[in-house]
Amino acid sequence: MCFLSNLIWLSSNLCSNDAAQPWQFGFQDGGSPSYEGIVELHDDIMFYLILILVGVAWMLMSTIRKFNWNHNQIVHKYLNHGTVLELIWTISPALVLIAIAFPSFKLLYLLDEVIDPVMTVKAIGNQWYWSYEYSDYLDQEGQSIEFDSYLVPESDLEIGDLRLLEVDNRVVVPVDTHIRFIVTARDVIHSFAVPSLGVKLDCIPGRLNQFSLVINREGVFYGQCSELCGVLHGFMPVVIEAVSLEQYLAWLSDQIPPYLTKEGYTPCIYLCITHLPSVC
Amino acid sequence: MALAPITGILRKRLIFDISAGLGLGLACSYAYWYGVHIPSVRKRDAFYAKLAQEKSQ
Repeated sequence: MCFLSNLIWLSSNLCSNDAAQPWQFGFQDGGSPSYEGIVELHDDIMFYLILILVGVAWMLMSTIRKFNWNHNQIVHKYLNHGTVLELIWTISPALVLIAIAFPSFKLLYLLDEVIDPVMTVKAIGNQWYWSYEYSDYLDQEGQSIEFDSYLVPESDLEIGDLRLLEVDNRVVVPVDTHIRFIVTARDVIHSFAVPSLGVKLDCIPGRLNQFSLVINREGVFYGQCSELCGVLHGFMPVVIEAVSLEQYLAWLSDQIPPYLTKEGYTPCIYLCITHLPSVC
Repeated sequence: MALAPITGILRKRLIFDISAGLGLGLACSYAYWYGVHIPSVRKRDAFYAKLAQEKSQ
């Protein structure tokens, strides 16, 4: 009874977040144009899916009801071949497949494009944590920003933290910025996946895969490794924190030891500003 | 007693079933489209419009 009332309450108060929720129905809230495109395609396909489901179910039920031996004893023995019927049941599904295929290909190729990104983040899968590199920014010694991102164990969680999803170091990126993610792995195949950003890409040792990402709004987006990679596969989450440009610059200056120039920026921040002309 | 004609029963039945099945299917599809898809798109667009307004202020 309690379960039923909870289910009813959940159905009437449907809410989604940037992480999966217990008993969640449907998709998470989107945070990127890629994700919105995927949801649009899903809804397009659902339209045809419902049409086919209801049509086929009707035909099946009607056949069972009307054309069984008890109900209809007339055997249509001369109905061995029907050219028109065959044409209908061949061409109709073909038209539906074409209607589904074209938007699907369009989205697929759009998601594959990485055109003129403003910054690059490299994500490397390890057994069982993620390493990240921001190679656009260098310190005095020529080192880029690099850090590892481990799951926060249950004993260290604070109130509001998500179990099995929280990490010690998040990937911080600015909103409304065209970012290129390069993904790879050091040991076995992993998969970098963040559902609410419409991202899922295999990380393969010795190979670089890439995708582009523009995040529409500030937020913390959670994902998990999505390729079975060993015993702790379920314990290497991905957390992307999208912040405003100002907050991003502040985070950057925390990552690299600051040495201020005349303008008041560290060189890395200056580099960032020159890299992000459209949003500065 | 006159017997009911038995010619054309299958054809009529098939035409009826195809029309009814696809018609009902189309009605359900449009119910999904206007009942689920369009409201969610409106909700999303309203959110981003509000966000854009907040950013511009």
